[in-house]
Amino acid sequence: MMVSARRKAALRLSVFAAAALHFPSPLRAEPRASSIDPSHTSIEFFVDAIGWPRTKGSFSSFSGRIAVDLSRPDESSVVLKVAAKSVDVGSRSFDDYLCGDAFFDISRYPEISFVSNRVEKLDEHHARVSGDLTLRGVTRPFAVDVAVEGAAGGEASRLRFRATGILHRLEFGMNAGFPAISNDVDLVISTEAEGGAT
Amino acid sequence: MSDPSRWPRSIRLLHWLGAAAILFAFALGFAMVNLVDDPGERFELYQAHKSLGLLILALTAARLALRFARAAPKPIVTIANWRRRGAGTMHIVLYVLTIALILAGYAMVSTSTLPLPVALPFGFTAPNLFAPDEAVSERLKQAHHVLAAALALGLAGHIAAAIKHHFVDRDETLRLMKPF
Repeated sequence: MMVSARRKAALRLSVFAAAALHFPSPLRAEPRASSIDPSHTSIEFFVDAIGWPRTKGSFSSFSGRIAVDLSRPDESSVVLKVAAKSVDVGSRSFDDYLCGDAFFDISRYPEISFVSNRVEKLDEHHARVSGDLTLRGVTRPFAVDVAVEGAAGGEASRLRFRATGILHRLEFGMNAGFPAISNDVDLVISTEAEGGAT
Repeated sequence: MSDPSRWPRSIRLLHWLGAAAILFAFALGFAMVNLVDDPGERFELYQAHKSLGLLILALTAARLALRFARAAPKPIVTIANWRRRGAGTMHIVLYVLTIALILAGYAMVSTSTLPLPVALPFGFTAPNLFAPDEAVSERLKQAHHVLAAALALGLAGHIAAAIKHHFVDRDETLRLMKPF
């Protein structure tokens, strides 16, 4: 994917600058990409299985960048990289099992990633973000619906997002336990970002 | 020389260790299926139940081997022969049910479409014995449940008989198995 020099510069700024250096620029041509803030971000998943309670899990180690412009959604983008080993389902031995070759197989595939390639505005408060999801080394198109939940933390320019999508794990070669364990995995990702020009 | 008025000490210890482990396995099995809704906790209870099952299998096999190797205590003369034979048969049934129950559970785990070997002490795992087959695993699960119910009934009878011998008949039966 081509990345403009300006965006590269913006990324570098957002990655390395202290928070105090972040300032809005009304003249910028593209939304400023900022690092995803783990303290304001959660990545959760839910899986159903026969004879087993609905399993809720999350990932605690991830990084990424997000650029949002509500008035020009096609300029928005998101990149998310998740450390598969940070999976947490509330039990160390269960986590370890999920890290094994039956599921995430972290020794071969330590990273799960999503790179957006299209952002469509659905209405004033909803967008669809499409892109490529890589899981277990398999890259497939994946889309999430994003609800824009308004200003976060009392800052008018800062927006809260809640992305939901259904991942079909069999597409990524994660077949263990199917069909007792559902193919469908519900994903819920909440995060915050600067809203850009409106 | 062993004391002919009691079961050998090794058998007595294995009997009570096995009894405690079996009761605990029943409690775990019931709790993990019916009481615990947290998936992480439930996962850990399943793994503990599976490991405990193989521990009980080892304890039971060792006790059974000792039953053949060591002398049984002298028969209690106040108990009629047919009742002694009935008790002997019941003990064989309990051994068979215990072993069959555990083997059904182990086979169920082995044929599960979710490969999850049974954890053993010191980081070892018991291998899955058969190829995954959901239909077979489901039938083995039913067998495991039926055998568990049968063993629970058998153990209830076993405990009731021990109590009757001790408190009603006031004979030596329970003392033959005194742990210390």
